[in-house]
Amino acid sequence: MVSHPNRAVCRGKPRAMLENTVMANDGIRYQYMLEIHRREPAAHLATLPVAPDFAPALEWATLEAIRDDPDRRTVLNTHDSRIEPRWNPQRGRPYVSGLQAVVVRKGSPAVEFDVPLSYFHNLAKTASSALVEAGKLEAGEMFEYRVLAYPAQVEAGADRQPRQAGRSFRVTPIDEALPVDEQSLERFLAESTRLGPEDEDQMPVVIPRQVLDETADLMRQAEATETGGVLIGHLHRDGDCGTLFLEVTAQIPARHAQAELTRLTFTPETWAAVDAAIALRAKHEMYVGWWHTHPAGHWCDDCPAETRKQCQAAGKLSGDFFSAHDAALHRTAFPRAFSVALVLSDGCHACRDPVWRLYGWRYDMIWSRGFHVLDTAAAPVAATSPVLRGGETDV
Amino acid sequence: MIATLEKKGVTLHVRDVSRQKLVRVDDVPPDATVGELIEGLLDRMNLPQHDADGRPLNYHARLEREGRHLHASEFVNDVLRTGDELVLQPNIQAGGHDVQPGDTPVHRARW
Repeated sequence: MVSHPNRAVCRGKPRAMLENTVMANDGIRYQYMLEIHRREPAAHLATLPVAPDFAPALEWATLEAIRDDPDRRTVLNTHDSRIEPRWNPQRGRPYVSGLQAVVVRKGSPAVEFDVPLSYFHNLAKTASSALVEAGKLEAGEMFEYRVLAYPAQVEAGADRQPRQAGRSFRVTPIDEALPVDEQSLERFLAESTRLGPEDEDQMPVVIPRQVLDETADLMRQAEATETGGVLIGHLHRDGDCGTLFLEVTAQIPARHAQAELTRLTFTPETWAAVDAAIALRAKHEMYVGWWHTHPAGHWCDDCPAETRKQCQAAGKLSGDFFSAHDAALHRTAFPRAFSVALVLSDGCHACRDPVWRLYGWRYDMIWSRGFHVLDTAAAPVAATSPVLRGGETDV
Repeated sequence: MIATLEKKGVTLHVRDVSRQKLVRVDDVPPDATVGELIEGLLDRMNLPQHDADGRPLNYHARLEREGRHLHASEFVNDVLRTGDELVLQPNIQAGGHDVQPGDTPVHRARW
């Protein structure tokens, strides 16, 4: 099991973390496999190779390694870090009971963070679809999986310098520290209202109420199409306890985006327009996240009443979720672990008021999280229903 | 007598769309296209190459010096100089169009 100690916003000392003397990325990699079993009657169905995307886990671990260390520059590159399997104590190798993200730091011992086995859920889900198509599983049938890992020895760095015939070039990551200034977290929180789930283990995020109001206005203007934008702001380090926190300062509407009822495409022109807006503001803000809407109130505009009832009974009428496409965009454009995604949604029937839900990287995946609304006025409507994790519907 | 000089490779700096990942790229062949350059960078910058549906993601390279997106068919030799900075910007979808509960089996990790 994963053990992540709860922690307060400010602590007297860095949270407990395992330390060892791993000082270098030694080049050992693993080929991961999923062993899939039917539950009843119990039967082994398949053992399939999978290729997990470990970048989010490494990003999260890298941020955690510096989050509470005011002496550490905010260099978030992950090229010297790696993922290792934790072997199942009962079954032994090659069975895996979890993962460890090992963050190598120059001049300091490496730090390790547990990564839960749930990292493989989406891969298992994808694999199950193939088994359904092959007739080995029924849609909706329960199945179980085990994770296996086999060493796949490669040369150190070999995976980072693949060569294409006739088109080879060298790529070297540059360690560039992100700008962080010292601010009082307490001052921000004193003027804020918490919204969403409370979790002291999360990096605090502060969003001005004005930003929420602007997103709600844009949602209303967009009517039956999705809309969105980019959240910009700053990373701060608290002057008292040294922890990092995030301040969203503004939202930049996504111009040149292609908007439809159930999708929103951020184009290269969208990003260029955001960059131009940031330059025009001249406040040294950076990308800290994005927002978009799920106008569920319009999803059933053309449906007959009977269909609406069926959908409502099936729980399909809420826009309060983070889809696989949302997760893919977040992974692609906002890979740093401090990045957040704000989703505004409404309901088809009872409630047309917008509901805000913030998502962000936690441990290794995208989860719903709380935040602080910077305003002394009344807080906006908080989402209260259970939430779906990006790309998953039934774990 | 005229000697033909072989043009040396170009050295660039490339950022991801958030501008928070930065790499230096050395020895870019002058006869490579921008599309080939982008394709070769994605894996090495840990950038996703497919969307949630498994379709290839389309990235454009924005040349900071000129403030424009380069066309994939343009040649490095024609448009890039050593010292240039590129930003890779994807064309990517978000949205709620894929949520249909119950379309795949339920799964659990087992120990």
